[in-house]
Amino acid sequence: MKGLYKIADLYVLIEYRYNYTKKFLESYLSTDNALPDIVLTVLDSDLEYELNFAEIKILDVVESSCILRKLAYEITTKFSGVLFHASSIAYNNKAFMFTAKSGTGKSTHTRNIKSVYGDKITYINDDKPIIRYFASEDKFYVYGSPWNGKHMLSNNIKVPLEAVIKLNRGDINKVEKESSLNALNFLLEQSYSTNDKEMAVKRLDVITKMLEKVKFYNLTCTKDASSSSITYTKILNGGIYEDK
Amino acid sequence: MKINNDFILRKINSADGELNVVIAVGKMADKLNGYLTLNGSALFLWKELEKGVKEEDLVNALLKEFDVSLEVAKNDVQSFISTIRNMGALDE
Repeated sequence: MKGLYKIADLYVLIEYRYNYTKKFLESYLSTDNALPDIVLTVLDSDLEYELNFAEIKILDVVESSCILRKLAYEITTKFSGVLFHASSIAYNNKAFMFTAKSGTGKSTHTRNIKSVYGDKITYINDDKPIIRYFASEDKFYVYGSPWNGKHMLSNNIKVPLEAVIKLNRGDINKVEKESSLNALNFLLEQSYSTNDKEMAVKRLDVITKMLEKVKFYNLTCTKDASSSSITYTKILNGGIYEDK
Repeated sequence: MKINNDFILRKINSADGELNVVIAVGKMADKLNGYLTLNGSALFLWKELEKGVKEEDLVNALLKEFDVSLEVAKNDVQSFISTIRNMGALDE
């Protein structure tokens, strides 16, 4: 089966085998009459390779991970893009990416924000948003992707990146600016990469640019919905960076 | 001696000022998890080693660039080389 998809402003022609994949990619299908920027074909060897990493060793499910791996490689090596393990939301046409070690509760936090601030907030992607850098505009954009986590929260939209937030769990709510070195650390940790050298170098190029242009925060907060107000005041509405 | 090209130096003009960091890419990424920051003489020595250089020449270059004694220069070079050798960044 084949389909033309639009992901992160790129036309991707994907040749795949399983119906599960077809459903998985559905909301990113494109009806535009466009030439593909990227062509991906899932091969037997790709599926075999992916099985090594798969928790659920079912080929239907593994195929979409396979496509993710191949797509990430193309986007990073050719289109100045990086996939992050993060939960990303939009407010006032600005994108905010929440990163944390798995299990810390970034999805819980963004869900809390959404539950309190409702329509002011839009989900970009709850699990693997795609960031692309456009040199012509000297700007970063965050995009939704079909890899949107357990709760399947994402939209096929594009929003300029405003800030990246490292989330920690704690008993209090606290926000600070994050140092560039700490930011470098968690950007490296939470970005998708492989041992491929070209991909690693290009990924680093994007991350280097992010450190020059984007705001970084360190957020400690509790699990409940009230923690969303510190994020709303001090991050979404740019509190600390404006304080002198 | 030369820096292994699986280690790359990047200058970052961050919000905290200029940072010079070394990141491992490719198979060496398993050895150096994260990054190494270089400043002052370490940055200078790294850049010389990127070109490929002998240990004695490194000491001389350091002496020319920085106002230190021969003893200090030798020690600095030795300890730097030992650090990066342990990281697997040195092709000898």
